[in-house]
Amino acid sequence: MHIPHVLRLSGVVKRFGRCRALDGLSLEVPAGVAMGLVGSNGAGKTTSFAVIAGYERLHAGTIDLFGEGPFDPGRHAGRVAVMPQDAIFPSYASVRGVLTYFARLQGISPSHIEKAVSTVLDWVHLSDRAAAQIRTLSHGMRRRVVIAQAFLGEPALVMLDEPMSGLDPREVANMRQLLKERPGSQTIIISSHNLHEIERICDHVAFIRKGKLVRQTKVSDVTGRHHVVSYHIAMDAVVDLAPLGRQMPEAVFEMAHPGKLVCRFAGSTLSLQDVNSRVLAYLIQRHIPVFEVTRGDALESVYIGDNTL
Amino acid sequence: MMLSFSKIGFVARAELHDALRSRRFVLMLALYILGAGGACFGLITALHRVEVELSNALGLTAAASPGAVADALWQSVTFQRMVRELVGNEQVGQELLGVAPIALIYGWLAFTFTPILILLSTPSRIAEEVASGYARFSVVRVTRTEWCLGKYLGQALEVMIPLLLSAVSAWGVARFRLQSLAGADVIGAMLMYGLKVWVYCMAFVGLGLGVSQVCRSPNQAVVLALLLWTGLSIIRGASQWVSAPIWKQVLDSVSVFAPATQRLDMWRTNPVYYVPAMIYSITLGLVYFSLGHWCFLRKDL
Repeated sequence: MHIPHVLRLSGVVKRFGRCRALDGLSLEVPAGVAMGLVGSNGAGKTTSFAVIAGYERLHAGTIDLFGEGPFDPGRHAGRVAVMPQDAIFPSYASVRGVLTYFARLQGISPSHIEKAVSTVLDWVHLSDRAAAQIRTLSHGMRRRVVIAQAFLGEPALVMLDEPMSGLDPREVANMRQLLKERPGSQTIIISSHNLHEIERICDHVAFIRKGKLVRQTKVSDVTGRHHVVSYHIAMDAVVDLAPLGRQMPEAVFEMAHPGKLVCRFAGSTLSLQDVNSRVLAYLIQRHIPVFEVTRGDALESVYIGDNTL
Repeated sequence: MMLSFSKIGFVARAELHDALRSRRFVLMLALYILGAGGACFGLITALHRVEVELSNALGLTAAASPGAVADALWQSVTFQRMVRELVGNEQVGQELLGVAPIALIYGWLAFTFTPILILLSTPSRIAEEVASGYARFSVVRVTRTEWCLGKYLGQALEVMIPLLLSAVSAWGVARFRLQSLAGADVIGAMLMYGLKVWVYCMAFVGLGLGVSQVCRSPNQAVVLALLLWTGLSIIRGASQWVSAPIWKQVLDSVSVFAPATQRLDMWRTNPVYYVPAMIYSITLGLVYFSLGHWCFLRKDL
């Protein structure tokens, strides 16, 4: 099946002096997905955004947006938006003023500007501060304005660099919801060190290391949401795994550590419901308290546990 | 590459709007208005003192308001010859003598101080937005060329406002203190000089924004612009003193890039001289701007 890609990077190289921030990075982002960009400090996540958005020049490789070639503001204005990590607005500008200016620049028709600005301000819960000057806002509020500008006019591709940084827990939840409920056609790329959020928001993930793509796949494939279940039980509980193994020979059971029973199974031969009902019945019959059942491994655990990522 | 003039206009409008609300602009406006008005006031007061002392020395009754001696002086053949010799050009000197003294004072102030004020403020404009990252929000929405041209236009308009207001301020002071020399024709002449200075300063705006596109730090941009201006001015000055033909040729060639090259022609009242000078200044500004922009197009933001 042909999957239309909104973005293709092929062999992209970006050097800063002798340092190769991107060292032949190749990446394909299918349309309509939310993709998390994961990597350690200096892996090249922010630089990737910078070269895609045309902030920084390539030394080698190609970038193709919407099958139309590299980023060109004349062609892509309003269709590609970026939330840069450290960029700041002028302190004297008003929230509405700055968003209206950007709306004009990206070509939103004058009759729709007010609505577009009000919509994004509603999303980030800043409608009541629309007239306020940037300097009167808290750090978190300023970050929300930066997020708001990225969604002006519902661009087809939005790149967010550490979007949750500096937000309070309520706003993090709101942002998560906002990103999950985005229009189906909108593609989002999130660069973040908060793997918990990546796991909750994104359906695809790309691991970058030393400027190269290490792995790109669905989040569920990495975390095993469809073929791994963990049972958090009493720390002192002793579980005899042999009977379970005999009941479900296609599954593998192990105690990851005291208090955590992990079951790995092939999704094609066993269903999650089957596994869950049999394992829970087994544990309850043996009076082993079950505190929590979770699907898959946490992305963070996978990332930290796998030295190749 | 197709440029969107509406987007250039949006950037220019925002630039002007931001400038009008900034403390820097308020300070610049105050300097222009108070400087022009204050200088006129000081000069007229000094003139009046001279008149009073002269009258006392001659045992005459001094006039209540200043200007009588200045009027007589302006008409005297000796003074006129002195002005022509001071200017160093018979024709220019003669043309200047046809202009009201207050307009000349205003013109001198504007020609002298506006470029300095421009070079203290304009070079930081693009550099500071690049340094703060604010430019990143704009250059995904408009091309770098549209953005920079919008900044150029905005800065150019920003300079015009204080220039014209300072002309009105200087005329107001003159009108108040020196009624005989500040009629309606004088404000016309002052506004004309204001306009000429504005066009003359396009070269400085271009220089400032050209440097601003190259530098990452606003302070560095201001220093570099001032150094360039000083360097070119020194070369221009040296070209008039050096006698060795080769060196003179080299210095003359370089000094055509000095933004002040057209100043003398701008003083003239005959459009045959000042219109080409205006075109030259605008072109020179665009050359500086374009050189900086060539770097900016290749720069990581």
